Amino acid sequence: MRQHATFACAGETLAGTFDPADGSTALLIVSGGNEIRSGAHAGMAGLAADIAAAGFAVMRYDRRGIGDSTGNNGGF
Amino acid sequence: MIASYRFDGRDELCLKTGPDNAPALLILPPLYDEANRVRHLMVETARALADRGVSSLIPDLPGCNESLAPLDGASISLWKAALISCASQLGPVSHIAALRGGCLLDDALDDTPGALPRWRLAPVKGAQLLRTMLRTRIASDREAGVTSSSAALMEDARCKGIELAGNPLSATMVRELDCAVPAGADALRLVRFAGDPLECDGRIPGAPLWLRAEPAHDPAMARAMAGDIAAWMHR
Repeated sequence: MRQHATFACAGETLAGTFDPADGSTALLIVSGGNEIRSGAHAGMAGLAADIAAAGFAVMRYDRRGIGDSTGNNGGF
Repeated sequence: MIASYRFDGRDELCLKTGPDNAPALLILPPLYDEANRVRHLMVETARALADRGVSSLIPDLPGCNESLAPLDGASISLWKAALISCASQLGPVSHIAALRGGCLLDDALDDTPGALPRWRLAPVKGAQLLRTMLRTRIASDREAGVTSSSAALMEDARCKGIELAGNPLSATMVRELDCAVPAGADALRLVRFAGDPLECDGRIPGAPLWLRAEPAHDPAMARAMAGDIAAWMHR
């Protein structure tokens, strides 16, 4: 089941999404450019769901100043 | 900040900002990829509103953003049903602010007693969104050596659905979007950008972020939107 959470980073609050899986290996997806964590056409959200279904947990997050996170966008 | 509402057997993400005990402003995102490009603008507007004591909800529409629902199962009527669920679980909702194609959904709660006051930023007809996506499709068909026309694609799409600009649209969605227009409303504030020649009740400085190639932000725009919305809500 997909879980959303916030966590602290250098005084700002970042938003992230975790797709759990049973395996002990996990994948961190870092969206490129200024793209939000779900990705263009929700492509990264879809990829995360598929990879989690294959047994690997997946974490995605919005970096500072992007999407649901606070702070200034310092550039990719 | 992270909340969720239950719809159609799934938990859908809904950002919740501002005081817990106040009736909320429901913020409706633009449709399809325009939503990505203004996501941070919407969230920062909600944060600026929270600083002014206004509670906001920004729900995911089923099939969009973080939703695990299939986009090709979405339709205008399904999205309105989802908004009713969202408002009943996370509300009460007192006002609605809609951006672009989100204005096609802002009558979703009209069956609840009394139509809610609406704030609209640069509303767009569904047919116009379809035309823009069709142009992208025709251009990519041309690059692939296929000649396609808007009329032929639409005829096919109304029966079988279609993939446009990377978005799978069901036949129901194509038919509903093609005739969707922002609903008439009594309590309505219509806002446009400074360079938009069309009539409106107020103007926001800056240029539309959904026309950019990738998500961008304009902090002054978020502040101006929050100021305009808060003044309208307190009227």
